[in-house]
Amino acid sequence: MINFQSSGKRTLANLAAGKLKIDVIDCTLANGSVTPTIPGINWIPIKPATNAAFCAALVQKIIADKTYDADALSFTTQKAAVAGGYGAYTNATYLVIVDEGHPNHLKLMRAADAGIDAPEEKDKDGKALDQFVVIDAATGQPAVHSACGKGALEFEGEVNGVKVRTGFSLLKDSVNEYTMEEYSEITGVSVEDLERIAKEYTSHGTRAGICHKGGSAASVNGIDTVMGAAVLHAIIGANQMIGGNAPNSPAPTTAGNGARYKLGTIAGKPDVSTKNATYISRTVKAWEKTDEYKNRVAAGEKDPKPLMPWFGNGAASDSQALLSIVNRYPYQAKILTSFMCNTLQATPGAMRDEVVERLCDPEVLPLHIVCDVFVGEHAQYADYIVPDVTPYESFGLPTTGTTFTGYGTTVRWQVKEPESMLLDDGRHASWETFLADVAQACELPGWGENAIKDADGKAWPLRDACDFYLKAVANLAYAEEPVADISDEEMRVQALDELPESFKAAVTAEEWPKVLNVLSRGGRYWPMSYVHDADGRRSRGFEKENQTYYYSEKRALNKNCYSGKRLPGVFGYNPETFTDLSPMTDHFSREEYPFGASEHKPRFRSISMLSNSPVMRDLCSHNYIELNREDAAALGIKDGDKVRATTPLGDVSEGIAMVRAGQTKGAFALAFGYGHQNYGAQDIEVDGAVTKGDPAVAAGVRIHQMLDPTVTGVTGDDVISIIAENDAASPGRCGGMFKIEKA
Amino acid sequence: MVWDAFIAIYLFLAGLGAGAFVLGALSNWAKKPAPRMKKIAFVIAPVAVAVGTLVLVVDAKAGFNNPLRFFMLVSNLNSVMAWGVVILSVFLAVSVVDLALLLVRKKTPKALDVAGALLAVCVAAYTGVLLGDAGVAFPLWNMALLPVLFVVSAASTGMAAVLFVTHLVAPDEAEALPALSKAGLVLPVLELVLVAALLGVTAGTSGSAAAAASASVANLLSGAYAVPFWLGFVCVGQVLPFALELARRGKPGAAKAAVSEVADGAAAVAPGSGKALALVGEAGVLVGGFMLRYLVIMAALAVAFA
Amino acid sequence: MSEKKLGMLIDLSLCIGCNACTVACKRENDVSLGAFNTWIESFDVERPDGRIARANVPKQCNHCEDAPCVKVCPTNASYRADDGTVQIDQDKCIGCKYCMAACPYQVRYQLESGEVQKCTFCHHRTSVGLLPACVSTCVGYARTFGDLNDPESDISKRLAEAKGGEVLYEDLGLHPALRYIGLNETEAMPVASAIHRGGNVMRPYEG
Repeated sequence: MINFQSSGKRTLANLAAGKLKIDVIDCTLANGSVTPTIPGINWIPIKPATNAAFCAALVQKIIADKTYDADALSFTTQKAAVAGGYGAYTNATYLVIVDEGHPNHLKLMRAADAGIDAPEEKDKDGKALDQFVVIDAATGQPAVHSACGKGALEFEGEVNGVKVRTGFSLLKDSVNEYTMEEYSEITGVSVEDLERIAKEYTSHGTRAGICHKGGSAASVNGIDTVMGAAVLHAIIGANQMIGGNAPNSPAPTTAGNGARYKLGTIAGKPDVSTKNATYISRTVKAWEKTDEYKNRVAAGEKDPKPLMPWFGNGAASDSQALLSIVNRYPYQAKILTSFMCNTLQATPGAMRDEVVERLCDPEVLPLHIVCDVFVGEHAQYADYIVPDVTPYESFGLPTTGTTFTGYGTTVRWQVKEPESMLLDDGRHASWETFLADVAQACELPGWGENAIKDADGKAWPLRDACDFYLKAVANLAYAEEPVADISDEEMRVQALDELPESFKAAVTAEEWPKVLNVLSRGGRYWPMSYVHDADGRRSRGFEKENQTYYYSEKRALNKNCYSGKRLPGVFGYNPETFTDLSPMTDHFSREEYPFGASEHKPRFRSISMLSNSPVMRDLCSHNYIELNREDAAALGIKDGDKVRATTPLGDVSEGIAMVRAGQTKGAFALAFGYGHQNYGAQDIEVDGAVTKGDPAVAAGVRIHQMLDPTVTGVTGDDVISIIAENDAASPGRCGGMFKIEKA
Repeated sequence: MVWDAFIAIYLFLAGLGAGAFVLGALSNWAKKPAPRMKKIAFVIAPVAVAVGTLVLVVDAKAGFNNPLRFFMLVSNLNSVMAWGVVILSVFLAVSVVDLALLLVRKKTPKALDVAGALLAVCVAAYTGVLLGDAGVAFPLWNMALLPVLFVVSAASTGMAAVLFVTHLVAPDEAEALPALSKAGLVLPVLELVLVAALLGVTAGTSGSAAAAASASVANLLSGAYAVPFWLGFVCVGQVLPFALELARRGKPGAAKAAVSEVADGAAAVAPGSGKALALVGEAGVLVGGFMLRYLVIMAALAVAFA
Repeated sequence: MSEKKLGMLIDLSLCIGCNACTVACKRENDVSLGAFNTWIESFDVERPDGRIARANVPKQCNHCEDAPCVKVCPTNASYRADDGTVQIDQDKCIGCKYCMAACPYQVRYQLESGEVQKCTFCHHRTSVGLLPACVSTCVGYARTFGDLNDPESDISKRLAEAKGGEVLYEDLGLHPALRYIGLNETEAMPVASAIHRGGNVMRPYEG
């Protein structure tokens, strides 16, 4: 769920007016819009790590009832979809090669596979475009996708002697792998509710949607949830439609090559990419593509296994990077610099003595520099801490994310002089000053004198945060139509005439009053009509492709580096597995460890922060281990008892029980952001002066997930590897296996 | 919990002082003259009330820090406390003057004694009314029963305090008022009946206050305050003094039986020693009197109880 | 009647328990740690349809028309202001805590310096035409504030739709200026968890 305050703001009035219906699918009933007396909203408890089963049940029912939008699913291109009154298309009609003997098995069929001689098409960069094959809905004959407007949704047969099926027909099989009763058993959601929601969801045209955020996918099978939501959005043609799945807050270019400054262009930037380099997080690159793999094969090794898993489909991951560093794999980290993050605290399963010991060992990590305002768990073990600035002392142009679907962006700027140390040249210590000074000392391109070019080709310096961010604000001020100059009166009322000279010097005299206009308003927003047309579609962004993968070639081809197993390219429910894709229940007994874990957003903390706030601690001194009242009764646990959740490998999370009806059966929940060890809980000595810690900061419990026994087992006990998503590489936060007892 | 043991001390001492004064005044009508007992009572009365009032002043932190604010104490005559201030002040004045007369002239005007005694009754009753007027928030603080209960308790604690000292410094005068012995039997019974009535009436509260009312009663009978209630108030404060009084009236053998029956702790007292038994009984009454105030304050839960 | 009577209306169906009001109030009124002028009591309930919902009931001074705190205050430190609200004159307060004892809603607390404090309906804001901090920050527009005696005020209009709203402990007869919508309906639902004040347990769940 998105931030419950903004979702509340956006839903309550419509719920109250009877114009909106919501089912909240969540392990835990949080405070939020499910109030006792508001109409149209239900809390549906679900077991953790089973969101995909819920989505699959819906898709099964929708396909069985034929309540899907066949039109929306059949468009083969964005152009055809837009012409047909929609805003997006899918690859549901694209043919997949299911011929096991075929060299392109599991791939989408290309024109060449089908023996179709199609003229080559190139994108605007001159790169050849893929020509996928569909069965033309009009002729019933194979055709390249760009040559026909609509494809046949259901096809299973041979094209050019190759066995193929549409993604849609594969999806149908995938979601039918379980019966509705089985889905109900897996999720804990009644068949009645599953069917009701499937019916309701398909009863409002394109005006329905699934609002899900990272938390819903924070399990080892999390990508299934993401794919399920994507399939469900496209199944009613809701993408890019108002009332459906409208993208969040697109914004003009600000920190890139914008209207006034080319902030994205760095002269002399070194050519480093995943093509010639490797992320330490073992992501983006498949195991078979690594030098290590190639070298070991060349040395005669058959089917070599890596020390730690590789995630070819995963993006950069801080959690995996941390584990790589402590395992010194795939390579030794020499210097770790981190800024405003607490990866150690935020990675479930990582906060343990053996990780901390290695992190502190100069052999493992020779130099560790942290830039932060607080000395958190991660910063605690750094060799050097560079003081940073707080949000009110810093700059940023964060897009408004889930809170705003219009066009524009917010601006954060230094509204007060930073409390961090004042440097001799008048700057304050911060991440940006640290970067600028180190970069200039190392003579890196893009910093110091003549680092930034403006639209007229004039060069500007980059030595401080304002040098960069105020130019980004200028880009925003001049985007589309430039804003008006700020009035003198407004400047005076807001004391903007008292801003530091360095701010004014960062942009031109002509730009300055426009920059102040944007600063004074905390950002720039265009009217909603700017992005939405009268038909209820987005009026901007149609030129861009918006395709939903009903079949993901990338996922289908992702070979597990330990077992060689592959997960299907279509959406479906996959039970929780360890890294080698063996089900967790093959290793440990579900009877003995019947509980999953579900973490949720705290009301009175953030992910790893705010426990140092006395007001927040006043509102909530610690979190709880939340248990369903029937589970608690069976375990003899009473509200307020001290309880312990233990993994099969002996990891313990201990806290105070909150026994309630608002928690799903078969799982315990806890709000994250609690259970600190440092972050102000500890005494800190700086230059001989001791600042006393407050143990209240540490109150509460953090989840302790088990390490992955299949990695440790395969590659030796010395390796510490967390349970993680097979494709995304993200840590398994929710789910897992636990037993619960009174402590 | 808004008020605590501090206020209980005040309520206890005010009642004790008031009771002592009444006893001192009554000693005028003693069959045998009891001048020392009267003096004891007249000393205890203003001292106890003054100390109690001082405790109150200290507890009123904002006033203690800004003493001039105490001059505004009678601004709102709708407030029971404002009347309490008047009653306490007049009582203190009368009792101090009366004591001074007693010490200087060895004699007090009867009219002043009577006036003081009437004021003393007001002081004792006021301590109950004070709580009773907050009964809208704390259903245990019953306006109809608390003043009566506190007057009864004031009588027994005042009497016990005076007799305790008398037994020590003027034992020959301790039995000067035979009615006191009778009172020693009647008052505990009366107090128990009144407490039972208070709990019964409270438990029967309906509406918004019902939950807090029944939780307060449960607090005393079986909850967090059950031990001090049953042991401190009922056993030590009422049953023990009653039994000892009974024993003192009968044969020494009966006293022993009664002692071992109701309170093991009292068995330590030398059997047959009437003075020791009396002292133990009087100490018990004082303990019970304090427990009554303490428990009525601490066990009470507000309508919006947490 | 032209006399002003400020009041607040809280629609419980729109309160999501985010506690933004609590924090805004703490900041606006510089409320000391451990004390709250307003707070939210949150708990699970069983709805009549068998599903579970999370109730959030904001609490604060009810600014009663027949305020026991005003009656018992010996120094007139607690008083009814011209706008109908109950206020405390800190310069008259001796800290006897009688008002705290007499308040069935238990919304008063003692400051470190000895004086008693509570919600003022943000008197310093409302007297210059601003809304109380809790109202202006409320995410779900659950709180409405205004003159109960002015039929044209937002609160009067919303109350008219809500048939006058409901009050806490109506049978005590104190005539609070704090009204609720959905209070009785919420309170009729069986409680299915501890009652939390903010996130701290106020009354544990007995099961």
